[in-house]
Amino acid sequence: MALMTGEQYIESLRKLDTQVYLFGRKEPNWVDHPIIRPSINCVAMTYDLAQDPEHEDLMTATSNLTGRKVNRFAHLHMGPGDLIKKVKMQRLLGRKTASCFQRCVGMDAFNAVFSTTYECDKAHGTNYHENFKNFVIYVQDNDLTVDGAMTDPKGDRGKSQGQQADSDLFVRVVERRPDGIVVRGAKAHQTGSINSHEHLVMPTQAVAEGDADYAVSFAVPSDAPGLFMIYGRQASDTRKLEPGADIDLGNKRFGGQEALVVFDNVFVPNERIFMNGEYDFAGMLVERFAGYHRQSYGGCKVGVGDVIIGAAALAAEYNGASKASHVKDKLIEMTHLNETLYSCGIACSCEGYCTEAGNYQIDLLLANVCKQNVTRFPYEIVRLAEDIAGGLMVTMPSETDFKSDLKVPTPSDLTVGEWCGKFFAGIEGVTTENRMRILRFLENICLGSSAVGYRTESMHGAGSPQAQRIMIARQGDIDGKKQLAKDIAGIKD
Amino acid sequence: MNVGVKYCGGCRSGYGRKAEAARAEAAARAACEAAGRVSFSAAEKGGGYGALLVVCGCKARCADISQYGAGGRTVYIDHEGGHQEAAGALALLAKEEKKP
Repeated sequence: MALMTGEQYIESLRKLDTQVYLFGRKEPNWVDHPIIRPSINCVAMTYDLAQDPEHEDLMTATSNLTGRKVNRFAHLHMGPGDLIKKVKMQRLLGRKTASCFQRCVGMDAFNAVFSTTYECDKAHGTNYHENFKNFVIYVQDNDLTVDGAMTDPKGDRGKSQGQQADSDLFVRVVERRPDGIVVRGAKAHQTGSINSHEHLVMPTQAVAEGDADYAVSFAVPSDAPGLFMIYGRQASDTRKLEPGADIDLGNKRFGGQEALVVFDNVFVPNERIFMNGEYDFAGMLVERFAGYHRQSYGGCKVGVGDVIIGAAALAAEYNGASKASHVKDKLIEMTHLNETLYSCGIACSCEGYCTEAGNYQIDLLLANVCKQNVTRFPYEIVRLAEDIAGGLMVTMPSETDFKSDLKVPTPSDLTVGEWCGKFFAGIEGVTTENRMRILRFLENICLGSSAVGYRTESMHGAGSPQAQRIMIARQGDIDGKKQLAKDIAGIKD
Repeated sequence: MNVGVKYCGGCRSGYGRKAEAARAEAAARAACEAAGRVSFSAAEKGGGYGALLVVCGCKARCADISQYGAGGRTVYIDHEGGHQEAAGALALLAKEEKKP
């Protein structure tokens, strides 16, 4: 099958019987729901750009499994060049959508599961790698979007999987049959889950011997019996329900999406199982997926950052402040922070290495440094953007007021819209509407629905800051560095 | 001469690559009048082109042209205004191709 267009992707979602709950009710037409649709448009962009000669060099690749042209989001990285192109592709999509485009989790899961199943088979004599290769070929040939589902609800963080009061707080195997397994539990914060054709499930953390039922990895269609999703709400999301909403949305066309994905006794056939009790490989899978995903943020958030920097510069221009030296300096600082993130994403890709399975893994230390920076720099970037934009970003009247033709009974006899237009004008030559548009864009990304993707996702997505610090401690080679100091200082003991 | 046009992925292009490529095509056509016809089409793998025009968003020139086969006759644009130089290089290649 040829690569899908964005429109074909959207139509393919309609053919699924995905069970979606939103605001306490089941949503049958979730594809066209105004709160959900912007996130679908974002994923559609990953399809449309792959069709565009101007972008296909990044957006597509040649499958090492079939030799066929595939979307890079379904590709296994076969060298540092692929890892670098992945980051560049993510920056491109961030620039085109100013949102989380959601398809990265699947790509990162493919690469982690591919190498881990190979090594697991070698150690345990299992057949997971062949199962997984067949799954990847199916995804590549049908150009599917896959949710790489890792994060369990986790309940009491002080307790392991098996110690929880509710055994469902981590996804586990509840029944083993000759033809497959039955799984139960949930995955939280699942980016793009509703928009995905398939779910590729992995353990959320290392698993001890006594908790082997929690060491499980598998793939199921998003409409598998027993699987349903509860949509995660975002700040100001109901603005999208306001009739005719446009400017007040900030980013009308694109957005991100997270949901709680529940597995209520879902059957998984044998050929879709990639880990089933091999607890000694759960940690490897988690570490590899997290590494790839921490690399990802050195691309996607940078692309979004590019748009924020542009918006801040426009806001300054419309305010008549673009020549102020402090504004110029703030734009320089935003650029410096943004490009530092990109540098980390590129660096951990350049230092990638070949796994036993043949695909390439990023440099774990540099990827964790990348993500650690991502937990901080976007916050500073939006702080500077708010500084440049000014308070009007959050005190402006609504779009409805700007468009209102209601006369205000005062001597001037102007409408509400005319009063707004008069007092919220900026420099000559720029309409008040355009000024409003750029300020609403900044509001949306700094503290509206898109802040989910740019701020809190930067903090907690791909692991919270402490998770990276643990990895940095493990990879940092402090003993080796102590020896360097001893050698130079002449310490011989 | 048949020229294949190949773009890099455009991750952070600082200029309009499509417009620059169009300007290069027009300038090359004008410059090649004496050297014979020159035609442009989107490059495809294994296309066997007389020359490849590679339009890159920056100096990194990271477009993968390994499978586009133009026998080393590759002309790059990597900045705004680069079309003039590219058109001149294409005209030279067209002239060489016309030689018996």
